[in-house]
Amino acid sequence: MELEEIIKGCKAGNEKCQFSLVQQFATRLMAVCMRYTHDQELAKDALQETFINAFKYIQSYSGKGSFEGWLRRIAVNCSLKVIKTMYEVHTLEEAAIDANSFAEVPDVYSSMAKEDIMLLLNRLPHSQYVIFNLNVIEGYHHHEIATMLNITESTSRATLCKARNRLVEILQNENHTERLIAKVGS
Amino acid sequence: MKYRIFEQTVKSSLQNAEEAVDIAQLWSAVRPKEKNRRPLFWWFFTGFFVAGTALATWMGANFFASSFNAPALPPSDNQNQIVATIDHHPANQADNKSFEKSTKPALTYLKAENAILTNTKPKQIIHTSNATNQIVAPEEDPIQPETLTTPAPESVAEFRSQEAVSFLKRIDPTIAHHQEIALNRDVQCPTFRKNRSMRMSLIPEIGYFRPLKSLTAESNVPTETFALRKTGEKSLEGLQAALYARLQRPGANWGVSTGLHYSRLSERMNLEYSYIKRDTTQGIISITVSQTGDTITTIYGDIITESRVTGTTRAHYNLSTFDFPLSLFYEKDFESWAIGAEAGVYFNLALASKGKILNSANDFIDVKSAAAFKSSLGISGFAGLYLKKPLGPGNLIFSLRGRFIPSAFNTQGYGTVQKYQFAGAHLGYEFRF
Repeated sequence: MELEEIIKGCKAGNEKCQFSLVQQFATRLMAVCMRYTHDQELAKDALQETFINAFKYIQSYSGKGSFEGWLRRIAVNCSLKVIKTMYEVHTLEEAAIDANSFAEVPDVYSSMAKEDIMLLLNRLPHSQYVIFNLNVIEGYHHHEIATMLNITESTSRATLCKARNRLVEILQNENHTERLIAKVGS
Repeated sequence: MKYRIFEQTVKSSLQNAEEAVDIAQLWSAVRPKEKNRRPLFWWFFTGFFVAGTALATWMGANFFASSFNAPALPPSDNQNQIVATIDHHPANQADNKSFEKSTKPALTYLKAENAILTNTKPKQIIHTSNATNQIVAPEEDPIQPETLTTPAPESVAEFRSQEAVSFLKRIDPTIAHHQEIALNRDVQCPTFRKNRSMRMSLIPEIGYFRPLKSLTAESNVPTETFALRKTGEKSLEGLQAALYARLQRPGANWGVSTGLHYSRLSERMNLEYSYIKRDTTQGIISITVSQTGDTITTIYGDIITESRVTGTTRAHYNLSTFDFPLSLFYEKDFESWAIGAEAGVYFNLALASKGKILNSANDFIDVKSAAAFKSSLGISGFAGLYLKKPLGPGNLIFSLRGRFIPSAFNTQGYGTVQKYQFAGAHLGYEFRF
């Protein structure tokens, strides 16, 4: 069944189309929920909420923009709601921002498995991890992240910068790199 | 490798990541629950049924409670006669004032008895049980009213309390002593339940009404169908059934009434149709013959035969209304009958139509297919007069009622504005609780 047909059916309350929608997007949205909640059960809760909200508000989807993007946004919101994290306010010198954008990292990181990336990202503090995910992976702008997390735009920007600095630090850590090289080699 | 490239790698790797999930379990959790929409009637009848059941339960409970509180006494007892007089006196059911008036003789006896109860020590009460029986006989009453020190009961509740004491004392003086103490602690028993704040009655009713129809054309140029309906469509008798619940304050002349009302009227249409039927056959229409008698030419062609077909056909359609009435009534009691007036509104719950209606000069169509009638009439008014006569445990009610329906029965744009006013006679029976 085509996506447009599924959306149309869901808008009309067709159960078959709703099931198709669940089938088509459940695994990808589960991955999104897992990334934010780090817990299988919490991720399931968030996923359920995602689909319930999607069916409830599908009439508001006008067809402009990616439908998957619309769903992912709901999934992110639901996941954040589930974990109910408090975000600290960070202040950072403007000069420090993006200081490491052009930093060199070992080439071995260009071919990392998903699990390894997750292990790496999990070493970030939670607030940095969430903002990194929202900005880098989901592609949200800072003003959107600020609204979603109820923080200021500058806080979002500063936290992302901290996350990047931390990641560069981790990546440049020789021990970690060596372990990864050994794993790739084996 | 630049850090920015690393970020791109991370993004592309995680953006399309998938996690295993139990689809069946997820679907059962997110599956939208079906809304079970029930029609308005369902709710109305359910509400009515629940109210009726609650009322019946309440009445049943009251019946058993009153049976328990007022056990039968030996017929020889004078006290019992007083109780019986109070309980069955017709005025007792009318209002509290007449109740007190009617119990004046009884109060006189109770004054005397009460004097003994209050002026005698508890031990002596046991021995004066026989004396009580003597007191209740008016001719042999040894105690003069002047000697009484206890004031006569001023309220019905007080009277009941005193009556309960004397009643128990007569059955068993020992019990009476203890019960007297208990009863003096502001305990009110037994209750006759005659001083309720509201009185309720149920009236099932059936009736006949005459629908007064007005049929006008929606446009200035009436159609042929409209003209035929105007002359040939006849309203038949209307039938009505209703169940009313009335609430009235005891002693008050007015009250409110509500319930469920159903009415059904029929329309009959006799149609005299007449049309020309054409039959075409192929045949010889011309033959040319020579002088010698030989056929020269034969021309074949259509032979058209016209015949006029006339006849009479008949069709019916019914209109049923389901209404929720709300009215005020006022009634005046006379010796053995009462006259009343009522006025109120009907909230139409639904208008149902069934049957066939004239569609053209020669044929009928199903009313539903024609979408001829509305599904609801809105609010209409009614007023009437009634006569009430006691019969058995309740009252027989004969009423004359008129109903004014301001809105048309037809859907807008149908071409005809069909309005009705009803005038009818109804017969009901009032069950009082």
